[in-house]
Amino acid sequence: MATATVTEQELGFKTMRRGIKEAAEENVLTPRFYTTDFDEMEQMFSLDNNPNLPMEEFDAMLKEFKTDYNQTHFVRNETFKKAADSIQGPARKIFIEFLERSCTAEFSGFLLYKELGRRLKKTNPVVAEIFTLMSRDEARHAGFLNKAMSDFNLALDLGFLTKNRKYTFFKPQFIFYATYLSEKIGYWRYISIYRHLQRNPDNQLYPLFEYFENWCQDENRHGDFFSAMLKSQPQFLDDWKAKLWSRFFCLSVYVTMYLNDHQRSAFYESLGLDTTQFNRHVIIETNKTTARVFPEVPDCETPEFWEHMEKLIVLNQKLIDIGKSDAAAPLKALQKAPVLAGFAGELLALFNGKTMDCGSYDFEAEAAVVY
Amino acid sequence: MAPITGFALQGQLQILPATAQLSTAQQRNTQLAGSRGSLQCKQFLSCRSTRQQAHLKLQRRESTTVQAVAAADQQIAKSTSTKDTWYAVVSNAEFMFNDVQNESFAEQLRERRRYFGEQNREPDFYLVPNPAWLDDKFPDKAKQVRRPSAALVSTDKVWITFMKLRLDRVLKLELGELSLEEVTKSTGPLPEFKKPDKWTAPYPPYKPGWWEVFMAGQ
Repeated sequence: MATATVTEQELGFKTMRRGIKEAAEENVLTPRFYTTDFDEMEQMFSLDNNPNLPMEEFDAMLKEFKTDYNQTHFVRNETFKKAADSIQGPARKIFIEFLERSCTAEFSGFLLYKELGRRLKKTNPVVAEIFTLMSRDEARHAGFLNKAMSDFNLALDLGFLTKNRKYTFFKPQFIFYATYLSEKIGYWRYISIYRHLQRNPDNQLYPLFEYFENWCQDENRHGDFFSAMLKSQPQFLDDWKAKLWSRFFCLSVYVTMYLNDHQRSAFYESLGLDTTQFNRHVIIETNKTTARVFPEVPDCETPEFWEHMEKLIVLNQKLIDIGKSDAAAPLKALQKAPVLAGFAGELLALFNGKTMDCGSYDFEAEAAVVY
Repeated sequence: MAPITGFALQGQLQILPATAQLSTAQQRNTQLAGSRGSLQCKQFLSCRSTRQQAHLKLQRRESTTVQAVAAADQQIAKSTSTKDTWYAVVSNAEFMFNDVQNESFAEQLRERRRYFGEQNREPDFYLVPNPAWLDDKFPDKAKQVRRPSAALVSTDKVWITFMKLRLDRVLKLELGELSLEEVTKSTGPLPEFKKPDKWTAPYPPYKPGWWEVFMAGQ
């Protein structure tokens, strides 16, 4: 135990108390906690106000969540601790960071869904129960990840985080786009890592990844629920504003992941993955999934799209280097200004890039659809 | 949820005392780890000796005799070609079986089959290549489906609604009362699909034929 404590200090992590890690500093790319306009949500799904709200898909989702396919899945075994102990050196640090980010993201889902489940109980019991069951899944995921962190002697104090972390406010419309994307991209990330490791068992450094196949089916189902949410509110899918927001949220999520993962490419390399290939695959497939409900998505398969993404990585690295340098703060700001301008330019170019019209077949004229 | 960004307003929030709720969830995890793990989790079973496995299976059988009998009854009922009400989603076979997007479809069917096994329930869903009922019962709508076609059929209407939500690019149909033989009747096997032109994944595609275990009589 004593040696382990030394190791954690050597890694440069701050602890709140023994075995409890101080949360990583927040920045624009760290996982967030969300809050929303709960009154608007209540109104939107109130069955009294909207007697014609289509409930068929919600009923189907509720049954699917009640089935609880993964009730007995998240059971740890004795191999975890040993595997964690054998991950040493620089890999140990990036492993802990990966676990912390994942745990924070899952826990963020737990908090939001739990509260929505509580708030919608009166106006729409079905939708409320779905949220509660999704928060059940997220709590399992977060708890499992936090246990994994304690294998590395650094768990998070989630109760403390709940009270002390900043919450980002999104209107319900934006919660739908953002959570839909985050669940679906979560599915594609987990399943891609899982399938890669399944075929390359030598890279299976830690047993956590063996759980990903069943685990990410939860993410996929959560995404389906937000798809049903969006379809029940056609005003969020059917006009030019909806298209612009769809495009904006797709790009925000893809850019964030691309930059985050490329900052930590050592982690994916330790699993035997090529970060760029892995990321591009996840983005392309998430985008195709999203095209089943969003009215518009960016075209992620043009060479220009990836050129802009690559430039963002270079600029982001420059910003990080300036931030780490010994220069005085005003000088740093001066140095950063042109880089930030370049960054904004690339984002704008992505936003103005090629797009595709898309959406659910349910909204197409029935006779015209070819399956 | 996966990490995502927000270029939006920052706001302080005063919500729920989640500490208590989470600790309940954590307790549940701990309990699961202690009491239920070895018996039900396949990963654990696979570590045990064959004899132990057989013993465990036996225990499970004994404790669920009633369910097992019910399942056996179900099977007998099916074999005497009683009719059930069936529901389906149908599409081009290549989309359903050979599209990277729908590898999750294979995962879902495996997950559901596993779950039914845990519950000692007979599956109520099958995959049907080139279903005969498509042209026979729906000559108009059949024109909207590119060939070769494939269908997922089930007696669970609610689940088919969910599968339509998931797959989206599929035609949902109520097939009416059919025997198992009628609903799974095929007009011919599927051809060999060609490999995707572009393969972006860091892993090879699912093996063709993964769907065969979900066809009736397998």
